[in-house]
Amino acid sequence: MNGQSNEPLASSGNESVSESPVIEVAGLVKVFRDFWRRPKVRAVNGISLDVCSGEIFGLLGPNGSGKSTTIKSLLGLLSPTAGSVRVFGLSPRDVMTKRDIGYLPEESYLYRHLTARETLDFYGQLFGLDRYTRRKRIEELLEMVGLTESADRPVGEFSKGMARRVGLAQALINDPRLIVLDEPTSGLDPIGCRQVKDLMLTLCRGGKTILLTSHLLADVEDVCNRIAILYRGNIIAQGRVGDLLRESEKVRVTFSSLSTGQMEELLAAIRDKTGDTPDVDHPAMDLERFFLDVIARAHGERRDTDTGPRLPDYLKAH
Amino acid sequence: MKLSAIAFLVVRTAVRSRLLLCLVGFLIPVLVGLPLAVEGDGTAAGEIRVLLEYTLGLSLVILGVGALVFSCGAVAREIEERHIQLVVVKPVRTVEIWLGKWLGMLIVNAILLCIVGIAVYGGIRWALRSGHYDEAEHSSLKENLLTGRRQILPLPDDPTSEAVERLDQLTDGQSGLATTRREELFLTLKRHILAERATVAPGGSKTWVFPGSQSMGAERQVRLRFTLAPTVDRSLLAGAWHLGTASKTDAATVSMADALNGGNYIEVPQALCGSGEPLLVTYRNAEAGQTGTVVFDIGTGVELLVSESGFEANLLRSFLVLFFHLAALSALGLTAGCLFSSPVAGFLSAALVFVALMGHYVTLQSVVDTPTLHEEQIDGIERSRVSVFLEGVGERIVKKMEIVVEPVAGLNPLPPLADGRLVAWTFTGKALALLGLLYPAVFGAVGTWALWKRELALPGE
Repeated sequence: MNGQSNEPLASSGNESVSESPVIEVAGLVKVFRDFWRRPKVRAVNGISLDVCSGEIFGLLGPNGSGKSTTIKSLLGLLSPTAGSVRVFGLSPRDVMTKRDIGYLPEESYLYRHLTARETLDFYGQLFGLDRYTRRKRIEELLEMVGLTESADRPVGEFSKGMARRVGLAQALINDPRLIVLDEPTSGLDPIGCRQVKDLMLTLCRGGKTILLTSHLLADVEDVCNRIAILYRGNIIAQGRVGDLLRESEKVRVTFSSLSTGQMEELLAAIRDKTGDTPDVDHPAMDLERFFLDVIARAHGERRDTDTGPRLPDYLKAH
Repeated sequence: MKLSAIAFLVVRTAVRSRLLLCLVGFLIPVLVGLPLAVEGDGTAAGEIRVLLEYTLGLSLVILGVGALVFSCGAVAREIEERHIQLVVVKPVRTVEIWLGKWLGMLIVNAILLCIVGIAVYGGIRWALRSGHYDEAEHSSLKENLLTGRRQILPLPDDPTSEAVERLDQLTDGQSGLATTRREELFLTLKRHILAERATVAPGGSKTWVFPGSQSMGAERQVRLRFTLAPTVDRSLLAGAWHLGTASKTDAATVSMADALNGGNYIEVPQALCGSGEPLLVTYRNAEAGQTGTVVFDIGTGVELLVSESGFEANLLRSFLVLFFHLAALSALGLTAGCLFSSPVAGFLSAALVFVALMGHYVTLQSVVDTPTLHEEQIDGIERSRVSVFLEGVGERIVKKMEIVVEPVAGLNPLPPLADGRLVAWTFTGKALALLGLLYPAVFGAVGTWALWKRELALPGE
């Protein structure tokens, strides 16, 4: 995340997507009960979905739609009321399953008294990594998330964005095959958001499977292969992003520039052929790209020299 | 590696959250202020006893409360603050989480106990070197208090058969006496007989038989200690102690003069020790007019004390036992934290310890053994069914808790330590087995199961 890229994001389509499902959810129901065991909220209402190896799958939905509940059921933090959840073909509560999962929660539930380096070391030890591997990965991850200089400060002193970066680093310390990111760009500035999206794409190209939730629809659109939209605990749309967003009855043609005369001729020709009058406008740069351009110019950097996030070697090895 | 990671996280949290500092802050007034504020009985032994019993006892209360509260929070607060979500999604078993937390608590407890131990031992050394004890006091302290002496009690004096005889005489012709009344009378008679047997009237005598033991070797100092019960009779006591064995009766005779209400010591001749023969100890009171009635303490009126250990070793074993107490309390707190939210866990575990100790106290006072309880009519007065029912429930709870508390209730090393008695390795081993292993294992099993079953990401958790 140190090297910031202002290039348009890579295509969300990933060539290495395999048909083998990493996550299998069938008829998942989750009912929260009150103290007296009476049903209180039906947070998830019989959803089914599969996430395949090597893809980035997005869960979208308004607040309270069941995204986080679904994710927590996938991680074994909640027990399904009905239905089944399998991760790598095993129960999510199986310790073997957890070896290959990296998780960034909605809020970074980190220990306030630990420094960033100690935090990563602690989680590295929970994965049984030896001291040498831990040290190497911690340095690489701290560099990746841009926290090398703050590595020995307690996490409790960090801003939300910095804590989020530590959270992201801990999710990657075990070189996971499945990365579950709950609102990964929450609390990050636009540069951080862009870096996280670049990171996701780079990881995906390396063969990782990513499941993410986000309120920021542009983020999901930029990186996801497939998405599911949840509403009140039900999946109301699911499929490839391109398929879901394509307006097949409309066509857009973009020219670099046209004179007024050329424009009039073209529009007349189109009217003759189709009997329809097309809309004409000037395409606008989206705000994110504009912001990143401005920041890059302020830093005196050239966009075309940037190479994206400096991913640790161990994360590229697939 | 996982266990040590979790354990050191607990230690780091204790240090960086300033809990350790806070507990040390509470301990300083106790360790420094209490010995200065409490004067004791004015003797050198009294001053040392204040350090060993009151200072150490109060420090242990502070450490116990600290261990209970901190261990409750170690899991419950992690669940509430959701830190645990990032831990349980890692390849860590719930038993490893519980065990790692417990090991961390053990390290914290060990650090605090070391501080207390160094302060108490330093206080004793300072008191001994400060020069305000004369030579006699100094050597008395070393012989009687700053040592580890094994206690040998005389063979038990069973009052049952005499109590049965007296009961038959008393109830002759009263067949209508209720069973519970009869039982109550029997218990009272037993107590009376024991009190009578601890009393030696002028001109009378009493003999105690101590089991023969090779451990009373000739190289060890053996002393007879007798303790007189406080009485209203202030007359001077005069009598003689006769010590011997079956083959050497009256091998030694020691006159008793100026006996105190507390402990009094008589050296047992080395010739009588280590023979393996039972030791016979007889007290013959002088004739009326020369002496008063001698009343011995019923529990430990007469006992033999055999020097077996130095004070430092005794202190070390005592601290090991205290450490096991804290280990059990930490295990209880952790398990409560696995089951309930932090304030509820703290309150419940503290209440459980309090009720268990109170229940044990009630049992010691024999209230629940009083047979007339649960009768609907006592001395012709009708009692409400509700109070009889509640009495029954209370007794059942106390008796059930006593099953758990009774084995460990006697594992308090402070009274023997402050009395110069041996805190034996067997005693320490029993504390390790029960408080250091068995109870934590049971608590750990429950806590691990609760953590496994509990949904750790419920809304509002």
